[in-house]
Amino acid sequence: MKKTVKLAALTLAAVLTLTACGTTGGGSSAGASSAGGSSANAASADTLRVVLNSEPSDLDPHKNTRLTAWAVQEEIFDKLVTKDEEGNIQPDLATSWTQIDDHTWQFKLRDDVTFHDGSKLTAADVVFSFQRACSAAGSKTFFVQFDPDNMKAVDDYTVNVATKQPFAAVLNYLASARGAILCKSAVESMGDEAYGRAPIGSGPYKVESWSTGNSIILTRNDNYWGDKPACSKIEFRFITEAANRAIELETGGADIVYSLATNDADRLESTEGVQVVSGPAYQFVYVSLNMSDKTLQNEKLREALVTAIDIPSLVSAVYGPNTKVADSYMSSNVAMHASMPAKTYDPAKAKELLAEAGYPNGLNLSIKLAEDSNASAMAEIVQGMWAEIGVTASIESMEQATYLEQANAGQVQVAIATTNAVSGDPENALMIWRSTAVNAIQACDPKIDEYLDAGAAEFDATKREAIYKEAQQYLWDKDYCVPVCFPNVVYGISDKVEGFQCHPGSTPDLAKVVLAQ
Amino acid sequence: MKMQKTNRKASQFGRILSRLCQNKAAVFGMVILLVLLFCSIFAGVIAPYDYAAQDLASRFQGPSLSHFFGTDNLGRDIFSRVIYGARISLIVGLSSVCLAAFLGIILGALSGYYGNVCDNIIMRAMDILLAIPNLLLAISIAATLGNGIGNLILAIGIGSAPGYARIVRASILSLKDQEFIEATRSVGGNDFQIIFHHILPNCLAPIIVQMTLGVATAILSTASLSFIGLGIAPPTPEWGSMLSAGRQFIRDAWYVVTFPGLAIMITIFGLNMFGDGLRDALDPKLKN
Amino acid sequence: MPRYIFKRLLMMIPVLIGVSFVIFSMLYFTPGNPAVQILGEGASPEAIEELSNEMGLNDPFFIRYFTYLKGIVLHGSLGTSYSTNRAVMTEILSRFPTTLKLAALSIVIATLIGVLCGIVAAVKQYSVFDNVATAVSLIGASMPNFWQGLMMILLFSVYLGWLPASGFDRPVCWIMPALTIGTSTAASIMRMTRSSMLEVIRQDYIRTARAKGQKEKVVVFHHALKNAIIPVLTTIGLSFGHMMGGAVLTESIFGIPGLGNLIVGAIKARDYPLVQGGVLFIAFAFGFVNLFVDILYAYCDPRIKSQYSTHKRRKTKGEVAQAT
Repeated sequence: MKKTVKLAALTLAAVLTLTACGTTGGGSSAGASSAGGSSANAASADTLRVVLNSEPSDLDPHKNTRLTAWAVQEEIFDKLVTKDEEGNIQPDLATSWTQIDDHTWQFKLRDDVTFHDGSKLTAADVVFSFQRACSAAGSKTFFVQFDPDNMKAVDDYTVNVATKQPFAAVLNYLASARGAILCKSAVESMGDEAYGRAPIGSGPYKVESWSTGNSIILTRNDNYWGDKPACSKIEFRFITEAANRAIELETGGADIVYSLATNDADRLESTEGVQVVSGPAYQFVYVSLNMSDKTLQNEKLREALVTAIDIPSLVSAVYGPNTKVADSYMSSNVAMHASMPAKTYDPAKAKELLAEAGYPNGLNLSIKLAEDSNASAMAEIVQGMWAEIGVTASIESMEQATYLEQANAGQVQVAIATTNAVSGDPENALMIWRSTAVNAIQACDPKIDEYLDAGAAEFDATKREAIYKEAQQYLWDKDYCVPVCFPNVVYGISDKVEGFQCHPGSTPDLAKVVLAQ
Repeated sequence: MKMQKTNRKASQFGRILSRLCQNKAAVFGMVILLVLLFCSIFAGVIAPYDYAAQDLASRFQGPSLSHFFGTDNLGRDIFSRVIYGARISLIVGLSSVCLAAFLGIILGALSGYYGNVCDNIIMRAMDILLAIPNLLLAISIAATLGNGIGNLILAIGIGSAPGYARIVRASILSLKDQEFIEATRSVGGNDFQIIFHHILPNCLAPIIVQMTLGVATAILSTASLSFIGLGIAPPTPEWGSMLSAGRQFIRDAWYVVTFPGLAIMITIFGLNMFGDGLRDALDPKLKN
Repeated sequence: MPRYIFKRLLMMIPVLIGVSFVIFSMLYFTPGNPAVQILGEGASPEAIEELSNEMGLNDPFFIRYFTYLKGIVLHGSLGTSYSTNRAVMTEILSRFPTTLKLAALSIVIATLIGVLCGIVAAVKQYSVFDNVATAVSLIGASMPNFWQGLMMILLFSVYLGWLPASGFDRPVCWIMPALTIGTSTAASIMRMTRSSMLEVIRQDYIRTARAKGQKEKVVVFHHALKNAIIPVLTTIGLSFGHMMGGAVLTESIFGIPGLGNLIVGAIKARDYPLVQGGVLFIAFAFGFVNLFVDILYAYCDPRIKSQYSTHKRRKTKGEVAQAT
């Protein structure tokens, strides 16, 4: 009996010790204990609680390509210029700017900006940030047009930003989340790794703590040069299950939820205490037809494939009835968008076209996608609709890593894809159709390159618009893809939240949010 | 002589069967299994709709007379998909278990019979496989090989092999030095005969039990892998991938997630009950 | 005894090396380039090639493997994660306490349910109680973890509003995930308890105790359970070890930042060092738990203990013959 008691006591003690040391040790990496996370719900009514759909890997603007990271970075960093609700460029860190020559823009900076660590923001920091952006893995692709060697700090508050070719999209690019200005001295003294965990920026909020797996807490920057935000803290939490995000909002565990699933949004619209805010975005969803694939180079065949899809039903089934059906190869919110006549849905005509294309008995196609619930649903619907005209499509869903590898190598015949032009600039939106682009499309049409090169170099807005209109018409008629829709950005906010504005690039500015009591 | 042998085997089998039937839980499990088998074989006849037939106009309809389990996000009949799903689950379950048993028996037999270096190497390899958690191992193998039923069977089968190897090895070790083995060898029997005709039949019982329970684990692993996104891809109706696809709709359409989940649960429950009953029936200690 | 422990620890090393080799090989053959993941969509082939070379991804197999081993042996470092650029060890240790907590709570629940059901099933074999107890422990095991989690969230978070659906920082968040995992593992513990108890109950000394007129409760708990519990310890230990790396799906449903979730995410992102480090860590923890259970086993069962004690030298045949 004694033995058993001893044994039971020993085991119980072991289990309790493990639990206890788990409690003290767990959940902290940069200061906040687990009590910090839990206190958020009971904390000052002054803390804005935001839920994201995944945890950023780090907060270094040049090191990652994830939207969730930028959502947080938006509060920590400032940019040279910013965009207002109408899409016009407004000053941010820069007070004015002029174009000195074809390749260079000169910006005059504010002189009253300090970073979170107290150092002043000067032109040297701007030069450093952009040069780093041109060479860092995560940002290199976006900054491919910028010229790091000719970036210059003319004096403490004047900086030259240079591009390799004449590039009309400069301001749009610099206004995007990618244009963040980093603190040179902090990056150099802290090192990349530490900087990515607790970055020093000049924005309205600074990083207080990051509890891996649980939350990132930002606290108000009291030395901010602009309007001070109303909320003293922002707590970002990460919930990967879509249904759980909606539940958090409904049960009052969160104030704002980014990325709501369509069906949750529909239900929340009629729920008490909660609102659904949606706004235009830069995304374009499409089904790409590999341009370099021998079979798909047949124009009649492509026309048949597009005519066989009932696009409005497809959009309604996957994205809901409020999502706009695509009327161009770039979102209607991207600058210089031109509306094209809708594609007709006619299975009988599609069958005829198929026969004319040389496939009276149908053919086999292969659809590949990176696993995602919307993409899967779309693939299945497309498969079903193509089956009606005699085209048998097989679906292969794979992990993102594998899909990217295959797509870039040109092994994907039909792909379900999305593109997001974060800068809102047509060059950004259409660059996937360039023959130099590396993706599932495998573009090889020199006419497109001609259009895009002309558009990128044209500084006159009217002329630029005309070029892009022609380009969009050309793409639309060529049926290089099945254009599906322009999804909106959808946020769920509690009734206590005021002053929240949607941002088409999915990085809303939380500094203007006020929490009513 | 032959007559006696057949009679003995038959009566032994009969005794096991009667013991099994006395166990109500095991009978319940058997019934469930038979229903499962029936559904998989006759899915084409039983299912009212084609599992891939989409009807975008009637998405998310609740259970009704025309759609017993309702319709999913693409308007497909859930009842039909659950029935076809039985076929996939059974195919993957049985194949992976057979693969695991096959690999395990061979490795265990070699290891136990030849001993020494061979034994050491094989057992260390089994230890390595066992040291990695089952699900993570299956996920890693599935990630390496890619999606598809064949790769799934491989991933699950390889991970389960060590269990069978151990059973066979233990059995061989305990029987290896017995006199009847020596006797067989002295009348000219070779190693192969000894292993397969004399030793293996003795460890048949635990292997069968392990296989039955193994099918349950395999079905669960399949569902888990499909849930993560590795494994069976759409539109093939597999219970786990149906759960995965339906999980975001759980608030508005509870039936999309509930019925496939129930199907998995009942299947595994039945298999477990049957396996446990089988183990009891085959337990030599209960022979008296 | 210390010698035995030391020998066991030593034997773990080849197994761990084997594990690292197996995982490394599998990752080597897995399609998907981590450089592409890092650079994102639209990266040029030259950029990808450059980054791949920098990361050493184009080196031959054995050079990569030995560089990795060298890192472990010489610097005690498991490498740096490709996605977060932090040391793999740091990433693992930041998640490990959460997984440990979850596993500890789950094993307590599993043991309580499993042992109780097992005792009932064994003592009243073949009766209704046996079937009911078996059924109860099996129900949890038959439900896929992720489905059970979803159903519980639906019931307790949405309809009743009692418990939060995600997170792991407050104690109230621990209830549902621990229940989910605990009920799944209860069945195997119950089976072991039942069969072990059945074996013990048939022993002569139980019959004797009953014949002597001992109360049934004393017979069951004092005599039978004490002896039967020992093999059950192995099952409990094994289950605990498995929980440490196998709670992937539950972690994903409840949004728990645990080790399993970390590793699966790393596999998807082709973050090789993190996958290798994570699996190695779990394998080590598992081996360690096994060792602990074996020691506990030996400590409790005097028959086994004597085999390992080094004080008493066993008498040789000759000495025994001489003594008699």
